[in-house]
Amino acid sequence: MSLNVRKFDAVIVGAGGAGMRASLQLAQAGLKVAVLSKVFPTRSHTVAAQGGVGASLGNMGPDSWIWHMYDTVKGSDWLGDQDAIEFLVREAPKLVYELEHYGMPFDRNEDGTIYQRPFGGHSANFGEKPVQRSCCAADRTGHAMLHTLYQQNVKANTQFFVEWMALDLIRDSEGAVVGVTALEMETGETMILHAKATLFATGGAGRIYASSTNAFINTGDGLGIAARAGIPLEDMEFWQFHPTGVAGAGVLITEGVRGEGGYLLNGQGERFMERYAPTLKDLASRDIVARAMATEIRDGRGAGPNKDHVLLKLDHLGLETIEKRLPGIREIARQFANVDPIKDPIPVVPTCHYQMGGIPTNYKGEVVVPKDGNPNTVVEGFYAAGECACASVHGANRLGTNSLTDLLVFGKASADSVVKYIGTSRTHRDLPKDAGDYTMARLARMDNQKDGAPQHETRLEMQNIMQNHCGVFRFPEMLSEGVTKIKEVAEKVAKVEIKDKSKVFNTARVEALELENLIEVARATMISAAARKESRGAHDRADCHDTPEFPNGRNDKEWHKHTLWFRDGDRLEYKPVNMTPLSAESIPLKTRSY
Amino acid sequence: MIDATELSRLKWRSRRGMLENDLVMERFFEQHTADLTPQRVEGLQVLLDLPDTDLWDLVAGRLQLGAGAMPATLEMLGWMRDCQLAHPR
Ligand SMILES: Cc1cc2nc3c(=O)[nH]c(=O)nc-3n(C[C@H](O)[C@H](O)[C@H](O)COP(=O)(O)OP(=O)(O)OC[C@H]3O[C@@H](n4cnc5c(N)ncnc54)[C@H](O)[C@@H]3O)c2cc1C
Repeated sequence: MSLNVRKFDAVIVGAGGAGMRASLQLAQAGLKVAVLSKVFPTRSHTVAAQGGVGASLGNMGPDSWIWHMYDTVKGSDWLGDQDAIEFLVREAPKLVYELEHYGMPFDRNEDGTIYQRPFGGHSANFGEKPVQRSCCAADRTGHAMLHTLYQQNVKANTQFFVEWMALDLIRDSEGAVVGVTALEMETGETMILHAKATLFATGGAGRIYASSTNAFINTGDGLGIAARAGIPLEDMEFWQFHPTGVAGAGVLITEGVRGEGGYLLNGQGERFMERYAPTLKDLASRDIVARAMATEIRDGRGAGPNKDHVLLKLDHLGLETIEKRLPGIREIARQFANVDPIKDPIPVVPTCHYQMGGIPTNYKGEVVVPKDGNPNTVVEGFYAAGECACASVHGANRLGTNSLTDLLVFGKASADSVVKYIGTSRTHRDLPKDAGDYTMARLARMDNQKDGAPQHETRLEMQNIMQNHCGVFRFPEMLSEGVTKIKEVAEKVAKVEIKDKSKVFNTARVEALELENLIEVARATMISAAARKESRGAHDRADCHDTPEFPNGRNDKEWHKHTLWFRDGDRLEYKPVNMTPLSAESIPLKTRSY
Repeated sequence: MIDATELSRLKWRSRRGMLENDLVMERFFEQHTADLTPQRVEGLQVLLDLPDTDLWDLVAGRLQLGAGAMPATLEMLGWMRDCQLAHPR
């Protein structure tokens, strides 16, 4: 083992909202922490969040954590773990107030309290009426949150390793995690970061799909790394899609466009929503609209030369309405679809937005795996929080604004667990002798590969397979074909070749390494989705319809359980959903309807 | 033209937190890599150091650069704004 080793109490991989909330906790506890990030911390994807952070402050009218809990369980289509959900909603107000105290510029009511916005799915009294629960800072909540956390971290002397990419997990013979290998981009050096505790906060993997609202950086590195180290990935079949992303770009077109009277057309110019939802038409719920769009495209009625999108028409609204009521839409359409919506319709497709699954953890942010009959055995020294983790609070579908809540609550909770684990006397476990070998072999393979597949084309191929075979609405024959195809692409990825072998700032190598992570997530998603023979939350199958026996296609008798995908042999296991909250009464299974 | 390492670094720093900016920068490099000079890179760097939200507002024309902005920065912003329109679907 010739790699340089650096020692820390804790290593955090990721400096988005989750990573920086965690690092703050650790730095304040006086631990020696390294925080790795592929990009400058405030350029993490959390910056894109606009809608707000959910917490039952009750500033706009009565609200309670019990109602927030109910909305979250219902949103999850009863797949969320109720202990974790209770923890999430009870901690949420504390963490929002703490951010306020740190100087986050929340919008205010006249009486000085934090203003809260209405948001879909947020209700009072168990679904009775809407409640305003989303705390925001104009339309820049994520940006404000990242900046606030970054400044607090600078004050607390957190040590950031910017433009460092974690490559692999290091586990000892007992399976405990003792650190990571990482690549410093500026020098091209690979190093070992030896730690008592390792915490992953690497964000989502939305780039597995051809159409994604996620920034390019969301390549699921933490998930790929964990999977290669033998950690299963939980509930990867569940991805939240947004009905209207600009085709070929992914940028979101707000639902407000349809609210103002815009409507969808297929390739034949037909207003197809009239067939799927005769009353509500284009204002039907997200799921129904996205499913109708997917069906039109699959049945050959899409628009454009490849018939791969539908059209969002709004020219009839007139220039004034568009500019006044839908600010920003014209720029987005012109810039990313090359159309001016006052004249021409915008090409749109259902677009991947958020990953509900991830690295399995308990509500304390400790990574858990099945072992000796216990489905939730703690992996010593390993923690995860934020979009890369699955606690599981989002279950089969996420309630809007709950992911910012998630990253605050579990960022802190996982760090608290680290502090407790390290205590005052814990020493480093020994590094295994071969600690860096696996990583070095991967890098050497990449450098020496001949006649391999090119990175960019292989990535596109993977993204198109995911989009066509495992998109928003899932057809059984497409899924089983998809399994074969994604395994074929995985074989290509294992032979990806890079032409540029330089050391310093070699982005070709970085992108090939990212692809090796993406493909693990793609495989996990496809295989978990093909196996789950029901519709639940965001996993919507064409062969599992709404019947009296299985309302909405959901089959609780066979499928009320979490999926665990293991990379080794693409094996699947399942584990029970936790229906026992920490203190509240259990919220029993019920058909989900809004 | 600027050297390959410098270009790689610049491209990586164009990995942004917002997809809008990622797409703009991808097209920017597709169309303008050959025209970059050290001076233009300096102008570009000013833009890349901005928060993502501000960068996108500038590109979308909702925000303008201050009076003291370097000519090279203004030029690079112009390129960012234009190259999107030129890109056919
Ligand atoms: C357009 C959009 C709008 C949204 N709006 C909202 C909203 O209004 N409310 C809400 O609750 N949620 C919203 N979400 C979801 C929410 O923004 C994300 O789920 C959340 O920000 C994820 O935060 P995170 O800290 O887990 O990860 P990120 O913020 O994605 O951070 C990941 C970090 O990990 C680092 N990293 C990754 N891989 C590596 C590696 N190999 N080595 C080193 N570092 C690495 C990155 O550099 C980065 O610092 C939105 C999402 C999108 C796409």
